Amino acid sequence: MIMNRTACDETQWSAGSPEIRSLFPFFKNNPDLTYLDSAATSQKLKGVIEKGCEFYSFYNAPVSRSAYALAFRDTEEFEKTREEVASFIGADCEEIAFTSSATAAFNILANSLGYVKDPKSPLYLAEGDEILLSRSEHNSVLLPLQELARRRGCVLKFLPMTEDGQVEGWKEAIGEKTKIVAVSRLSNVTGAFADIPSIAETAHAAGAIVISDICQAVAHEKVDVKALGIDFTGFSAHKIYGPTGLGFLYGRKDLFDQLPASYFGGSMVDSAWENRQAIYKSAPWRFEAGTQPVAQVIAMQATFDFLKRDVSETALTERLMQASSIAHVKILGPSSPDHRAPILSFVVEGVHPHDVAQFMAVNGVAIRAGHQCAQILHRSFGTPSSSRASLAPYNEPQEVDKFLDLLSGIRDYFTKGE
Amino acid sequence: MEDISELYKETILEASRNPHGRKDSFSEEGADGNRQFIHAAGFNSSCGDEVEMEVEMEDGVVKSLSWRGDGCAICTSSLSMLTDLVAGKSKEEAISLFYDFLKLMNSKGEGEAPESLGEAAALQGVSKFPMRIKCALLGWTTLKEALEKGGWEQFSGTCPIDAFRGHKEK
Repeated sequence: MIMNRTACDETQWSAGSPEIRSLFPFFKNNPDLTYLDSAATSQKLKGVIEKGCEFYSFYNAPVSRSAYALAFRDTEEFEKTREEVASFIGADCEEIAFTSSATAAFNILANSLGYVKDPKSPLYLAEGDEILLSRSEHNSVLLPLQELARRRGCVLKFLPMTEDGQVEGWKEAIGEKTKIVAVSRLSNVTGAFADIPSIAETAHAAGAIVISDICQAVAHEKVDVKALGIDFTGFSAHKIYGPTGLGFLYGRKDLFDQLPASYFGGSMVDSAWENRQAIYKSAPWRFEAGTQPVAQVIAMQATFDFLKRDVSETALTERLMQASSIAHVKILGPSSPDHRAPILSFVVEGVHPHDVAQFMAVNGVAIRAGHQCAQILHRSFGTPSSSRASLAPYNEPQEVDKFLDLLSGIRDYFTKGE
Repeated sequence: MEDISELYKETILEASRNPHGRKDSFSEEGADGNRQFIHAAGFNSSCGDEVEMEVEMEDGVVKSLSWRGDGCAICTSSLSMLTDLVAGKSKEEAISLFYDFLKLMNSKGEGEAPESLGEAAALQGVSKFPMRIKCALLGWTTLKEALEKGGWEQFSGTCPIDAFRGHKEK
């Protein structure tokens, strides 16, 4: 692991310890399942499940809209989560908008960028301007930006990558036409961290803004958006032990203030008239149209005690990376355990990734197979798809061993008749 | 826990290792008298697999059939079995086989497999794994595409297979 989480007053936990596992009811209810698919979605903390239940059972009421005590209390709780989320990534409250998912966050961002009309705004896109992306962007970043480029007549360009899938060449690629640079901090396929501070330095010097998807990063390192130099980002609650249906959009204050709304409705407006343009609220509230996922937002509070704990994943990552020494296993990403997260995508030569995942599944191990919403990256690696095992601190070392044992036998099972 | 051999029967694994009908190069698409070469492509959006198929038709009969592309063991064995089944069949027979196979994929692993399917009946176990049905169907939906392109309209109208097809790249 690159960085440890901010140490709290408690001592460091090691990933895979029984104390961590006992915080997640899922494992008690699925004793025979080895769950290695946390990069897709994580299991939920007991506190999150209880908090959501408590909200619906005791204090369900609308947020920001009514005068009675419950509604007021919920509004306070709702805003308290905003403070927690902001502090979790080193941001201020006014830089965090709630969304329904990370995908929604990136869509709102791209749509809103498309609404910028003032040529003097740093967010303005003129015809022929360039949007530069890494090849490992998830479809939820790639596609909204691709559509934005199409609408504004911009050119989409891609950064080169090393053979093991690490982003490179930004110094040469960023130029005066570059307006947006989008590189995810941690790839959901390769498990490699990108050097965002250096990319941001070059991008900012050229007057471009930096979008860096932190969906995976927040699960494996302490993210500080200011230190990384990120201008806009999104992430989701469900990948960090929180509820589904909730995401977050971060915007650097001065830029967020200049970003127009692109999704309209109740609660995001100050004043609406018959024949005049409405006056919208300031950021982040103008990005929160309609009833928000209140239960999820409040339940999210129960994640932060855990998220702030100092948990070391180093031993677990090293164990997982032993896969690189198994014959006929090709890793998509860095094969060394240093500077990477325990997200391992691989191909077993001669065996289709779906068959690999199926073999694991019938033996009680849940992994992912497919293009993992990153088709461009898979094409760059010369394979349409891969299998992926991804870990979280609740995974035990013996689960990794079970995965490695099965992995060693797969090729023989499918090709022994040859 | 499911038994892995229910899904990967030996006949399936064997067919996937040495599939019938796989060919690197196709003839040029088009008609030559009564003889017609039709090409079609099928796409599995969940894994990115793509298969291309060439169907040679003559006087209302599928004279030969070949395909190229890489798929999983289920997809490849299904393509191999399809090749054996459909070659030499009339259009009515080919369409009937298509619907028999569809029935097999909807069987949830229960009941007798249609006799017409021969060795392809081994794929019945796939119907118990909903995520894999589209792997087994990829060859068949591509065949449907090709036969429709060849003017065999018997497929038109609602087809329950669409639920498994996902997005198709044009």
